[in-house]
Amino acid sequence: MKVLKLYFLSLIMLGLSCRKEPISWNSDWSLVLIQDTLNLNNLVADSILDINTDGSYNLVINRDLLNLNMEDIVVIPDTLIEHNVNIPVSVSVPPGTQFIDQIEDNNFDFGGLQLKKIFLKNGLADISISSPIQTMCIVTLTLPGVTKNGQTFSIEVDVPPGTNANPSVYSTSIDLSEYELDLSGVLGDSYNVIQSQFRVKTNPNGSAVFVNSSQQVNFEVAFKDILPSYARGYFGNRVIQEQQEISLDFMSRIIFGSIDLENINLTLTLFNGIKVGARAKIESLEGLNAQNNSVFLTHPQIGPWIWINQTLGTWDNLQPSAHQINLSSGNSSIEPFFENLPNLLKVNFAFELNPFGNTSGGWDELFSTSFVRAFLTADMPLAIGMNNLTLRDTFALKVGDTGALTPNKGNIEIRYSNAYSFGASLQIQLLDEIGNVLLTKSSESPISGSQNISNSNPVVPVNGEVIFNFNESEMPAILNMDRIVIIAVFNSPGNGQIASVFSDQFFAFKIFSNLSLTTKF
Amino acid sequence: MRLIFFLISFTHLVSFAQQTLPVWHDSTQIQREVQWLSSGQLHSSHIGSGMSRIFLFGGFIDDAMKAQSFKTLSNNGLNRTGAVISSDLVYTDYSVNLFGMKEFGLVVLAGYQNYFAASYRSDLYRLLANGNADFSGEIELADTRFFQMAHQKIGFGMVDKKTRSTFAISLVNSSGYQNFDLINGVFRQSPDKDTTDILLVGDYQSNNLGSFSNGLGAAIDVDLRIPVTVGKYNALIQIVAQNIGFVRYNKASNQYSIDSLYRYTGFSLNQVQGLGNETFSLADSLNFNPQKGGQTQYLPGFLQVAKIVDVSSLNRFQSFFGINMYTQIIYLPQAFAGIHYKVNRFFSTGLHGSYGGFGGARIGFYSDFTLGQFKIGLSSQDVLGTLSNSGFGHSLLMRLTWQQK
Repeated sequence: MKVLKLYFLSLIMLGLSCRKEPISWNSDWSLVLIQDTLNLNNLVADSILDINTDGSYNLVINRDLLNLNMEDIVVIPDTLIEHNVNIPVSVSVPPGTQFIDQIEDNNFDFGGLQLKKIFLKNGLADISISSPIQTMCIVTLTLPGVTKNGQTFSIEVDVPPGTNANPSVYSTSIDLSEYELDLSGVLGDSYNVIQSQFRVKTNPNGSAVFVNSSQQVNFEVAFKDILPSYARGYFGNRVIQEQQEISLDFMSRIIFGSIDLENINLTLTLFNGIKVGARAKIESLEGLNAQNNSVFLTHPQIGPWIWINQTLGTWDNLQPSAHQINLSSGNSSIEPFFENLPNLLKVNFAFELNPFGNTSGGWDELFSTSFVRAFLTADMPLAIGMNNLTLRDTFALKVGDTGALTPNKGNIEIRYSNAYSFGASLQIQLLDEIGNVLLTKSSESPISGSQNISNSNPVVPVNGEVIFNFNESEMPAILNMDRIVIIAVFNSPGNGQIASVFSDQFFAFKIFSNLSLTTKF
Repeated sequence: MRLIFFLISFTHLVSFAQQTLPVWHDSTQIQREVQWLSSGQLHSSHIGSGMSRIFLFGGFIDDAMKAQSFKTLSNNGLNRTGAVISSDLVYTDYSVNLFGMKEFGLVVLAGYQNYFAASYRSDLYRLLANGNADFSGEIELADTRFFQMAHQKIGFGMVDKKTRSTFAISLVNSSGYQNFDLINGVFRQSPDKDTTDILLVGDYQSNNLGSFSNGLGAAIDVDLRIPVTVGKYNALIQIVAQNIGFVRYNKASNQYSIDSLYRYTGFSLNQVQGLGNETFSLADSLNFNPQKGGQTQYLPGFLQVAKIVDVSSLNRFQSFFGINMYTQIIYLPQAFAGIHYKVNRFFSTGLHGSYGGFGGARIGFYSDFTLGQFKIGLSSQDVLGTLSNSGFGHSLLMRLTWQQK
């Protein structure tokens, strides 16, 4: 009986003691995280690299610093013609009798522009007529200077009867695309003038109506969204100021160090594609790097005004005049400018129309194809030397819920094949959600640069691996990281010796995560 | 009803035993009987007792234990591990005439069962145990299966007063199940570990919402006792069909089907830069097709045909043998045979062997004590595994019977 009791007791104790601690075991896991091959095309936009016959790169830049089109130079504001036409005498008007016929010159204010003729690419005329006459009236509105395909703009509308208290209103909207506006007045010696003719007659099928001199018939023509395809006149003496910012995103990853560039040669070309006397000025060209260090480009033609001749030809064969400014190591500060590694270029540009007044006699011309442009071009061998050039990039990387798995220790292993002559040492930083650095680790050995590269044998990859070891105490940083920062410090052999970069060169890499995990449940 | 289920469910915590043995028949005159049978077994084709003890009681599986389990992995590659925990409370009243029929008495029962079974290839087991760091090559994943279901039942039925055969029908509640069946599958890893191919063709169904009831169903239990005479020998044959039924799970049940070949070679730098707030989902990459909806699952029923022991017999020695199986594909039919020795009218014991089920051969032992109106039985189907590290599992059974004669 005693034995039986003990047996039962032991069974109960055994049962109660079940699963007091979790089951666990260790296992080692390896997973490739990133596998990729990079070359210079991955780092910079393809459009700025060209490949020479020997496989080396040329840096090719074709980029607008300034590009003004017709709508930037001739801006026509929305304009309103409004007339309240008084009835001359108080009289009973028989049916079908015209009792108003008024011609007016309407002057526009184009903000300093003195235009004689414009062709419209787009535009609207919102027309509104109101009448207090107690019979239906036939209203004719004619704009003698406004034509399309030789036809003068004219509309004839029936305006319903109205009263003095409640005048009748007629509204319509006319598309002015492809209309020509002659703004030179009746004699052709004026500008910014449109003539209007307004005629009103009573309903020929109605009865006689009494009108008196206290009554008015009103009309409005609102010109809206006028966009010219041709303009002639005097465009005034105006200065157009422009500031352009050109972002070089890939350069923003560089946080330290320097590069040497060889044979930098840039050309800035100023084009004048309008038939207006003009001059231009590059007020400043500033390069800002990721550390906000600024370098201004200096050159004899940066700062002073530069006269640009008028274009020749007409709209279909414009021959813009061009003025070239060559920027080289010899005549400018272009090398320190680029060796500052700018990620933002700021260009301040001024363009002055008619600097000497109305010398064309009101015969300035702009066509739809007209433009004013400052264009930067470069075509030079890409040969660089890097000296502690430090790139920094951040990737979102978060370890999710690991469930029953707990990492004990491990490493990040980078296996690489590097065909570039420059090598790099690596550092990683693990950041939490608010950017606090949880852990900084440096690689135990650098990425080696390839040796024995020559123009005849430009691709001689070197293989190796870089390892970041993590011990158990560093695992919480991995589990809590929100993003990872990779900092790479590049150095060319021979303390930054300049070397050509070839299109077949590459950096291939595989990043592995090797972890010792404890499974526990 | 929940309280009853809870009490019955709790019993498996304080008893740990196995269900099938010993089987005996008591032909003495009884008015009513209450029997509480609680059992549990963990059995594997290759996991040694030392390691399986950790599965039961917790602890750290060290490299030596893993190495030992690797040695006994199946040569043909398919291994099995399973566990069944059950507890049944049965009240049998022979004094009533059920529905006015004097041949039949009343049976009222309640029970709990949690069934777990898995089959897997040897290479997959090594991979999960050691990791992939030192692995390259191909792992066959076909026939990887996992099944788990927990259910409770409460029912009533009739007992044939003469043969002690019973029939009962039960209402079944299930708190959850999981069924994973990989028809075809391959895991392949390149020597550099930079390329992983995964082929998966299979299904996974589950309903594990953590609540007490996620599905209802019905089941029948049949226990036929058939006396046979062979020459001058009389024997009693038992045919058991237990938990033959189904559960209809609610609409929150999940079903995933997959038929996908996925190659993983890591992400490109552009992908990493572009991921931003997106999250990589392996399930999406593998083309899982999730569906929700009600599902019907069969219970892992238990079938047994056996020659059993008649405890009323005057013979000191009796043999018993038979074959049993669960109606679930991972469990193989298990044959068993043993000898029963009646020491005196208060104490009997027995020794038996079995082969099959979730693993291979096991040796079992049991003892029955009679103390007045009480009978207490204790048994293990795997003595070596339960008491030492040399077996392949654990098995314990406790049976407490109260009889009013």
